[in-house]
Amino acid sequence: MPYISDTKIDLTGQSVTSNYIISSQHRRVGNPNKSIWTISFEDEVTCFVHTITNKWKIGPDAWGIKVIGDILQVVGLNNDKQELKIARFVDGTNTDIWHGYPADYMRKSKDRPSTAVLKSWVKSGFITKAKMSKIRTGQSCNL
Amino acid sequence: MQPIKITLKGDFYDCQIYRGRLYLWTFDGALKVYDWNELVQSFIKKETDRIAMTFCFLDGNYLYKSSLIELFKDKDFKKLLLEKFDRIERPIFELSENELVKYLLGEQDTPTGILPTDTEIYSNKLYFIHEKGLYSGSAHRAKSEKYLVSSRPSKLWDCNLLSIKANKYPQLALSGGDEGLFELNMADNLPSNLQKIEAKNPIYQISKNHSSFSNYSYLNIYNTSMIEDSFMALFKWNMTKDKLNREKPLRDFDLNINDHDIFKEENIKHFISWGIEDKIYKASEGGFEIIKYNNYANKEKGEERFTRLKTFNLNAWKGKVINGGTTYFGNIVESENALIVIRSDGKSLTIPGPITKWRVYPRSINYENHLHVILDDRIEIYSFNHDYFLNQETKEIGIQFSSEKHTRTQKTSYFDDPVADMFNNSLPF
Repeated sequence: MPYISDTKIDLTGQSVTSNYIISSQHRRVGNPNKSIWTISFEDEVTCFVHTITNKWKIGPDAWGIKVIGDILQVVGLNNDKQELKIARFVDGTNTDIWHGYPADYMRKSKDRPSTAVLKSWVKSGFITKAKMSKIRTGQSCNL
Repeated sequence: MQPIKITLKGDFYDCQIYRGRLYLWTFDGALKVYDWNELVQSFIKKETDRIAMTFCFLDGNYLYKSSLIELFKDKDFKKLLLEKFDRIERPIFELSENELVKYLLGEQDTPTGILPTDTEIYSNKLYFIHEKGLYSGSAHRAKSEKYLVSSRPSKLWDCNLLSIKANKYPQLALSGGDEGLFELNMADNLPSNLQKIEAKNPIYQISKNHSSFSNYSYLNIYNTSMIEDSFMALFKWNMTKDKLNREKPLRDFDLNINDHDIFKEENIKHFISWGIEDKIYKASEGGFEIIKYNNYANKEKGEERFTRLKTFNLNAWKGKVINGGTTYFGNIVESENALIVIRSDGKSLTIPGPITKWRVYPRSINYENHLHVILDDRIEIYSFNHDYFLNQETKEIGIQFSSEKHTRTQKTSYFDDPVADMFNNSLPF
């Protein structure tokens, strides 16, 4: 069944107890404060499920990536149309109902993944230790 | 004259050197403290190499002494010393992880258990940041202590900062990305015109503009942004009176000067600029621009605060410039794939990446000629020794070595006190 934006999605069928909402705000161009997804609804939800399954979360904040082989894929664009490869997910109401958006880690401090999540990505071979250090210090790197 | 290099194998994430001890953070979360003096001594196989090795790795300040500069004007003395440096260029100085254990003074979990985003050691204290905030705790503890660095540091602020940089006044510049530029001001006299944003600690907001990293230029802070225009936050001394009617100087904020105004250009494309002490640099497509900053410019005499020195063309880097720094021996430019050292004598050195972290220590007493580069499976510790033989007033790349640096306590040279007890009574910083 196709997903619908701004509607709670029950993910129990995907071995995840959390619920997810695809936010239409991050699908519309024109809002200068919002990055936008360029991946499909299905890929956004899969990215979230993958994030929760791998425990890439610290409290109400989680970060995800879309990987094909060992190559990180573009998940969205920032306001300057620059490609973004990290997703941020937020449980804003602490009710295990999450939404997400492409993370602009260079511009927004809150979008920078936590050290523990980045370490996990390094250990899994998704990024190098050097890129982890660049992300933590807000520097650009070829993800 | 080539730099001399010591290579230490291991999976490292960050490093610091302070008062004869090398601090290495490993990727698995340990903080290891090594006896740097002993480690360097282990590489000295011939007594005739001792002086050169000591200048290279233990006492980088010594050769800047004005009395020695006079000596080097005699070409025979200069030739003799250069030959000694030449002789230690060829040997490979390398230790495996197992060999390194011999010099280990202490090992502990990194304080708070989270790998630091950035660190500074200053006045016997370790300052560090990560996503939980800014912390400080004692460092350089006695060897008899269980932990050589405090395992229970104090949390000073909960901001998720990008980088920190200490100066000697003493202040700590805090770069907070989109939160702005801040300063932890530990001086006795606090600014009268900046907003204190933390109740328990003297942390002040300097600017709300984006800050990726920052560094001190005399009283001022040069703020570098990877996103927006960079700028210099200028400070000035305001003379006031204390309760006893004595003169009390306050380091107050003056104004911000945008890098477009400093470099007198209107590039649409964003290029990184950075500054420390008397020089400001801005990367371009094929090199960088250099501005000389005169902190003591007298406008009545027609002196300019900012003077363009030259455009330096160099095709050494490919890809975007992502970081830059300056020390006495030259400029360090990090591109996406390599680290390039543009030496103060005009030569360059390229260190291929991926680079996890690099550090220089221009405000240290004995390690201002060091460059530490953490690569995937090792740390490379370079010593650059060409700058002692250059005219400091006319050189265009690198910080000008000033006589202020010579004004030190008596026991500050490794030669004076090889057991590293120096500074115990009087800390210059």
